[in-house]
Amino acid sequence: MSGPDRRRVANALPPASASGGLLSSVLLVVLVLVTGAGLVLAGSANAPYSPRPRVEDLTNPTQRQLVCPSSRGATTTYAGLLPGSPGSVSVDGTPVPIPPSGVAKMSAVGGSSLTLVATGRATRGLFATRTRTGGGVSICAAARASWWFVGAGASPAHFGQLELVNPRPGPAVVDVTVYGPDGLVESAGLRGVTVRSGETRTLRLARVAPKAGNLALHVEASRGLVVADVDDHVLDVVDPKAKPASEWIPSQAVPGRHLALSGIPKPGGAGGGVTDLSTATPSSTPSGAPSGSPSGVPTGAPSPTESPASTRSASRRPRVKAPTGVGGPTLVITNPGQSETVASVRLSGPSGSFSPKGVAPQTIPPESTVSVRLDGILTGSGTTIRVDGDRPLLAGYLVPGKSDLVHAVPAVPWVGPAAVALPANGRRVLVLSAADSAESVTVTQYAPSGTRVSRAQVDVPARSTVTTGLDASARSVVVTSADGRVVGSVLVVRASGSSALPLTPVLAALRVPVVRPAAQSDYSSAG
Amino acid sequence: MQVSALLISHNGARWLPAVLAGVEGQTRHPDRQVAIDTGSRDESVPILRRSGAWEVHRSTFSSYAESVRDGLALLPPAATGEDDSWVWLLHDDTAPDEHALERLLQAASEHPEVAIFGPKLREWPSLRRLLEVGVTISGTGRRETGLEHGEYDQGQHDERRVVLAVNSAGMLVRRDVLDRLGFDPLLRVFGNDIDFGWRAARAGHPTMVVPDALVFHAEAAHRGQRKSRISAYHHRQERYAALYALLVNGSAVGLPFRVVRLTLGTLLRVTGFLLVRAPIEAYDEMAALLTLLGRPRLLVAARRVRAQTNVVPAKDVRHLLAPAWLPYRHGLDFFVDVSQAAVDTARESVGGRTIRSPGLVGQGDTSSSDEPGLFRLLLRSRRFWLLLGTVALSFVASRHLLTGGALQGGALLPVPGHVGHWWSTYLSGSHRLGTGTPAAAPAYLLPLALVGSLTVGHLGWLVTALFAFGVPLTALSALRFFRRLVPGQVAPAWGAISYALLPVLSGAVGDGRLGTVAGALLLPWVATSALGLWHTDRDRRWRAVWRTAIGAALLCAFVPVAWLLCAALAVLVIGTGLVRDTAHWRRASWWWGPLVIVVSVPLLLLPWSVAVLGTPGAWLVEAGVATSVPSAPSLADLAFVGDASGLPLWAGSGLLVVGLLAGLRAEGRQRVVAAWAVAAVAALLLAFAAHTTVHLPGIDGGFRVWTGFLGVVVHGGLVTAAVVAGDGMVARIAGTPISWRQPIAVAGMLAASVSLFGGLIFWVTDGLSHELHRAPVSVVPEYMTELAVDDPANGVLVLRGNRSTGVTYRVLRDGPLRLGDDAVLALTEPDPRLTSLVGRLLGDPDRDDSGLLASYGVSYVFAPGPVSPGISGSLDAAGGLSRASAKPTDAAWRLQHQASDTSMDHRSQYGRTELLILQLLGIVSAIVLAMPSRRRIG
Repeated sequence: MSGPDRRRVANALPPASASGGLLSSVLLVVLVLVTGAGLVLAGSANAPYSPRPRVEDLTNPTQRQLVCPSSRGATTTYAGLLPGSPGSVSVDGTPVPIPPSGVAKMSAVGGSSLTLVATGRATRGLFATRTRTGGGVSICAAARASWWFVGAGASPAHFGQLELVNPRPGPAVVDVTVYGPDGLVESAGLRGVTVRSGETRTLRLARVAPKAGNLALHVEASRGLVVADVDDHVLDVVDPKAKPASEWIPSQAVPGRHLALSGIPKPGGAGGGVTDLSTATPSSTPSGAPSGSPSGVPTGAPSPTESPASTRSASRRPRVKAPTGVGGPTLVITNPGQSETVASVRLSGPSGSFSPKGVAPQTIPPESTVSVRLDGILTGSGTTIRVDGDRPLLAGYLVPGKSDLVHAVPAVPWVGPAAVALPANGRRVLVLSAADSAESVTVTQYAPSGTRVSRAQVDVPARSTVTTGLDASARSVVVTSADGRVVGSVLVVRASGSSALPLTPVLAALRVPVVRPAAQSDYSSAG
Repeated sequence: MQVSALLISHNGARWLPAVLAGVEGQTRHPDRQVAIDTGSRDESVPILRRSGAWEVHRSTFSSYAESVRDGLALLPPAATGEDDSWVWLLHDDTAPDEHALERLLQAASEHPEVAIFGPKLREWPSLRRLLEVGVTISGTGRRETGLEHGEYDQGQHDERRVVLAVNSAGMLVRRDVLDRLGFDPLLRVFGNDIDFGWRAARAGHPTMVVPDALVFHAEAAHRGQRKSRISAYHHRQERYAALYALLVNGSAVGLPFRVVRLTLGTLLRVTGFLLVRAPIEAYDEMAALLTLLGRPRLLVAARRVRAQTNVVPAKDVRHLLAPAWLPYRHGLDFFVDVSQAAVDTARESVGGRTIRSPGLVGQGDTSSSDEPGLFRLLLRSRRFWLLLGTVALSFVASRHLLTGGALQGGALLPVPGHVGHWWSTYLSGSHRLGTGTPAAAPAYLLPLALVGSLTVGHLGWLVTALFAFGVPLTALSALRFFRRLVPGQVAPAWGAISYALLPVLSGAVGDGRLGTVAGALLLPWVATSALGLWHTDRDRRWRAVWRTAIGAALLCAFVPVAWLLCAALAVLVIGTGLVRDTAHWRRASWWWGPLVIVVSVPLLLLPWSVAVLGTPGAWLVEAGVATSVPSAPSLADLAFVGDASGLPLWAGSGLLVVGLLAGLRAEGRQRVVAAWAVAAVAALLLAFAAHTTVHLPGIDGGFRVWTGFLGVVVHGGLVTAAVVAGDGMVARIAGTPISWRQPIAVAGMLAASVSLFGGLIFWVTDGLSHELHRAPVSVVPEYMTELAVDDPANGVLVLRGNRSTGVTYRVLRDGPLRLGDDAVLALTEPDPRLTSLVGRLLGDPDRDDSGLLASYGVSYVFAPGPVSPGISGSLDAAGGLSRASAKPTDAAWRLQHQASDTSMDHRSQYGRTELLILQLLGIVSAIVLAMPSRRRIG
């Protein structure tokens, strides 16, 4: 287009008109206002695109496996179902008849681990407990990637066996990290342990990672999923006739900053100290004390050095053989992190919680385990130990004895029903503890046939621990928590000794991460 | 020698007096003069009668051959054996030179073996231009004169020679030959001279051109100047005659070859005519061929007739035909001409259109012959300096974007490795993307693929040019627009750079917003074309309409929301026109223009525009990953340029200030109002878009779109207002007495400078340091990508996330997602079965799940580090998966089942091929209609 043409076009836009100077001014003002209004309106649009908050989905698994640990002695396994969860449960393809909401009992003359397979609705209600003659009770667990055990030993006087079971179809590769008093315990035999499908591997800790003192184990499957258990033993090495006392160590899933240890045995009971061994008879166990029983910890307990109990405990201390460090009730705190951490200990009794005198806040070096003797401080089973750290920690509590070894349960809160199958013999005490706010939970007990024995609301006051004796005819107890503020366990006192069973939430449904197609930009390049 | 002049007239009153005078003035007069008038409705017959020298007969016209026969019937029959009787054929638009007949007869006496003589034909009335000195025909049916177009007669062709044929205008033919051969009545007007000459040559009567005999010819029928039905469709008739002559006179052996060649050639010519917007000629070409080939009996009959008179073998007259290479020579000439024209145009453009007009160049002006070289032209060009400056600053501003891996980040995905990916994505109705999808490819892939094909395998250059050198490109485009608006130099340059910085300052470049960056570049081109909508010349106006339609479609391919803007502005333009310029805008040819633009955009974007009928929200989503950087701009972000990307308020508010001050200048206020009207419409659309929650099938949940392009339009409106008002401001205020205007003008100029330099500094320092970066393109291990390239069934399921954030998955095939894939996936509904399958694999896998996953064309599962133990544990524990090699931080599994594509979505977009053909036809038609009109001869 030539120059004059351009001018002609330019002058024609907009159509030339000499009139309307005022009109165009008014029009301009209107347009400016319209533009402004448009921008104001656009600027007021609220924030767009909120990603969906739900990150976990619930799904009904088609199959669920619970693995009960192996034992050399005779075992009895109790498998129960929650009410309203019909379905089939089998062991090695053989159906196990479990009445609705009842408990089936399976006895075996020792041997290997037992895998219970539930299908149908039973996947959502199966729970099981295995006991063995001569001491030791454990729940049966489903496979997962990470397991923590605190309070194990790898010395002649205190030794444990780590058992790894792979019930899943794919192979599993497991790394075991051992945290000792002086830091990580190096051992080549604990890295890259391959467990083939259906295989059980047993590792003797005293052989693969010998170390004195209380240890913590972290079992992590880098491939596949496993069920891990640690069968712990203490032995009075000065007594040539002594036999080891055994117990399975209840596992923890993840480190936390606020930990609770439940199922503390009563000193002087069957699980009592070494000197009480001769008097450790069922008759001497405390009756299934209702809440608020006098067996609780007195408030303002005297310091270990001042109290009679402490004196008593101190008088017994020389019997404990150094350097095992085993010999009295011991709190074991593990710091899995890379930096030093301070942990404080509180006790939660029937009438509230307090910090025990003489137990100073503990400094836990990185990747190390610290043992704190609590002789004489804990006077009854109605106590929960609470450990608070400024970084994630793990904690365990063990009471070694000549004939019995007790490991307290690292208890975690839950929402919904938590169930435990109860061993047939012995006295069973339900221990419940609330942290900072009270909660009322429903406790229902069932007979082996599935009939309901009792149902009660139990109020757990804030920062307190209550104990409830369970009916002798009950074979399972279901504790339903609505708010998830309560932790607890079942303390089983048998002739062979005391054991604590964790109150574990029964799988109501499988929690799986929400899966969704990715936004396009996420997959353009690395990072 | 007996000579009879035979004049055939038909509506030739315009030329007849000169023709008659020419015959009257002959040095050798014809012995008889017979005129046949074939039904003229003008003054032809009275003119002939008035002359008195002619025997005038009237007949109805059927063909030239019939008219000649009628004329011969009036002459006394030729004596048998006597070959000294001649007929001089004249047309009513041929004026013979006074010696014409004399010299023709002289030649006849000197060459007794020749029966047909023809004069040299010159153009009437230019008198010096040669038209024909004998004529022949090429193998493609082109009438060949052997002359350059418009060649001047300087005696360079003045020698007698035997030719194939001579024009019947001024032809001297021996009576007996004419009686025996005659003209072919099947050829009505055109082309019968070649046919006659060819037949005569075969019959042993050569034709000779006698250049010293001169006849002036108006070629009235050929040029369509003769208003008569006999010369209607002259193009078709000429073409018909040419094809006819070739088919009936050529050798029988070459006939099949000739039919094929002429058919293909005709198709080629039809295409060519369509491309130069000559549909009638294209139709004529086709009609001529089909008419001829549709009547094979007629051809056979014509050949049989010729066989009776042929005595000379076909090969003996072949030397009279045009050489075989001639058509290709013409093709080469055409190509060279076009290239030369393009070079000249560019040269003219660089020279700033300062072509001297002849009147301004004096004889003694020595500088006029001193044409400046290209270098000096460049130095003089302000455009060149603007380009040089902005390119230099671009290098500084994008220093970290120039080298490294692929340009990506924010809304920009890396470009594919080769342009075939874009072509196949665009052309195919079914994509092997993810789990297969029939979703439509985005419309912008077509321009990207077209331009990408020119980068010879360096697609990265394309996005680098757009993002790193977008400012110079956009500035050039804007400068062109502003210079059409105002005559000055400074204001357009300021406006061009201010406008070009808008994509940078709005964060579009830094966030990798391809749509806004490309849209800002294209918008001034479209706006410049749209200025032609007010052109008073109908042809130019409609060419502008089609140019704008093409530009708008290109713009909407990248920024579909621009279509809404187009529609709103079209309504505004028509409304304003009807109110303020009723005389023009009441006419359909005016108000149809904007409507045609609005309607043709969806047609030009065809497969895509049909595919998104169900998801109208897609019209609001511009090119680039839709949800990459969610943004909710505040009022300050929208009102002040660059507020969102961190430009200080004192610099960002400058445009708003000058835009508002622009309204204070009375001169050119109407154009300021127009600019503000565009800004207002864009602002209203911006409000609409900002409040609309868009749902697309492939995007989880509703989202708000990025409205950066509309922001650019709003601020572009302000820039335009400022350019219009600011042009010539300095001269204006300097020449008026001091008043309130001067301080306002100074304030405006200050604000303009501050915003310009503030923007430039911001751009150069950290305007591009946002999401955009260069990085290697890798998501999955290389060996997996290579396997997938070999067989697309070897896909990789990539998992990210953990229990606390949720897990996302995507199936990748040949590597990471590329530019354009995002838009396809945004329109793809995810397969819920695959989602639940992945969920099961991570929670509670069935025995058959890995087999089912393999049937989605997945060979590997890959989780980039840090890998959640929950994910890796679940997959390890699932059957049918085994670990595969990956970096220690990542995790990979190989599926033990053979991957297949049985569960993939194999559906194809409905009717994509047909829609693509429609789109192609639409694009070609629009381009043809937008091109300059073909100049008609004469």
